[in-house]
Amino acid sequence: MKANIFLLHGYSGSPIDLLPLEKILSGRFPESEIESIQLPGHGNPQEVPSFNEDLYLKTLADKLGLIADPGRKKIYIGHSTGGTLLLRYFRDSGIVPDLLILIGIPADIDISFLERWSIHSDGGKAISFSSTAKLVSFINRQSKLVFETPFPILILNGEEDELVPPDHAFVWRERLRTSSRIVIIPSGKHHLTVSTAVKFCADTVTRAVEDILSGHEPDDMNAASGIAGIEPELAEFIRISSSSCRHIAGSPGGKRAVGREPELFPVLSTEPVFANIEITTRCNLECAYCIRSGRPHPVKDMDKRTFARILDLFPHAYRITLVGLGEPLLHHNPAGIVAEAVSRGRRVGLVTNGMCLDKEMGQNLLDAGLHSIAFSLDAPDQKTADIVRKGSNLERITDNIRLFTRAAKKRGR
Amino acid sequence: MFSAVSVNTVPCLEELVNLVSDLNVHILMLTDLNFPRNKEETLWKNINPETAAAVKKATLSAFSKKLPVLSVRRWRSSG
Ligand code: SF4
Repeated sequence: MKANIFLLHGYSGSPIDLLPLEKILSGRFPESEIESIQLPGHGNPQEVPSFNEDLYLKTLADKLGLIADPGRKKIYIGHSTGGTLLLRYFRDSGIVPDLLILIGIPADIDISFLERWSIHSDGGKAISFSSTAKLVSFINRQSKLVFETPFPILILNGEEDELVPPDHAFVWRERLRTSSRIVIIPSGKHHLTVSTAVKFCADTVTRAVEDILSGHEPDDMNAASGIAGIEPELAEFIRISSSSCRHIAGSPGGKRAVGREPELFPVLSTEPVFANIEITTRCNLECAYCIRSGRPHPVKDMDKRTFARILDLFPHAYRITLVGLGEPLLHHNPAGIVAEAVSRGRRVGLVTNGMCLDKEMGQNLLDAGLHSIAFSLDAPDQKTADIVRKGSNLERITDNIRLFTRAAKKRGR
Repeated sequence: MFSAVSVNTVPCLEELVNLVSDLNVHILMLTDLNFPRNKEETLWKNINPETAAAVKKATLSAFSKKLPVLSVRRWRSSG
């Protein structure tokens, strides 16, 4: 499948800002047409043109409105204000992109933005007062954009973006309410595509483009349906994330579902469909066989945003297990973590030693949509438990398990 | 239910199966130990007729209680 891929730079920038990404995309998708659009007045590294919203939108209409090849997917990449202009253009024109990639786009501009601008431009290019006023007005007016037809959006933001901090990406996700994914690029600055972060950025972009272009074969669908016969939750996940079908079909379980042998290559063409995530390093036991025991361990809980970041990094991991060298129920909000993953259609399980699974915790986890639970228990009596799972209380654990399994059964799980 | 079994706990494995079968769980996953430092206590390093018989007896006991057993790590080779 071929595509038309358009790149649009930000205000005061030029296509040079996106050139490294453009080159990578050209190499990866040689059959696609890739065009980097230059906004009028841009391209002079010494000067910031005066901001002209109407002219920029007209330029987009002239360039993008003409492309009407139904056989090609349409993918748009906008950096900074270029992303906001694209959003506005799609709202006005009613055009529905196959994929929109937004890189470091500001959610709004306040007084602190101007301070950040002077850091960003390193005392160089200054924006005139009237352009600043027009830019602020344009950006802040886009906060209520509503799209009739949802379309996939990938939002990238540098973790160390000096102009548009990562918070803006999360504001956009809330605002757009469309199927959007956020990837925060470690140590990425505002010009993600011309920094050392370009590799990570380009890898994320090319994978997303690949997902749009690859679609899925009938065999992929058969594999996914085969697994959905065992795990009905998968059907809902595929509905939300149809591009995951190819990855699920390529997994060992997917291969087996259509009677094929799993392929074990060192480099796979598909992405992980399972993810084990350690949400806390805390534990209340000292099990004899655990490598955690007897070692100093910094105590830390993963916050919900970091957890969400991990989910976004693994968009095809429909099965999430909360497990690791820590007891997940000691996290300050395990049910909130479960709910976060469930809200994205993931099937969530956890592995627990059962010590903290009291009635309230159990109800909260079931309310949050927990799909499966595994209890770790190695000893049938307290004497053995004192040796192999030091710190555990067998009576409490078995009471908790009984209570939980009964409550789960009542809810048909 | 997920249970790690070592040479030290294999004698009480059948008792563990009895306990687990009363907890309304759907499946029992049995695994040998992992991590290099536990090597000396693993079943695969110390397999002998008594250990194999204990594993088999406990597994059959689980089946008789309609508790499916899933082998996770080197379990099948233990008997
Ligand atoms: S409960 Fe789990 S993490 Fe904690 S010491 Fe035991 S095996 Fe390790």
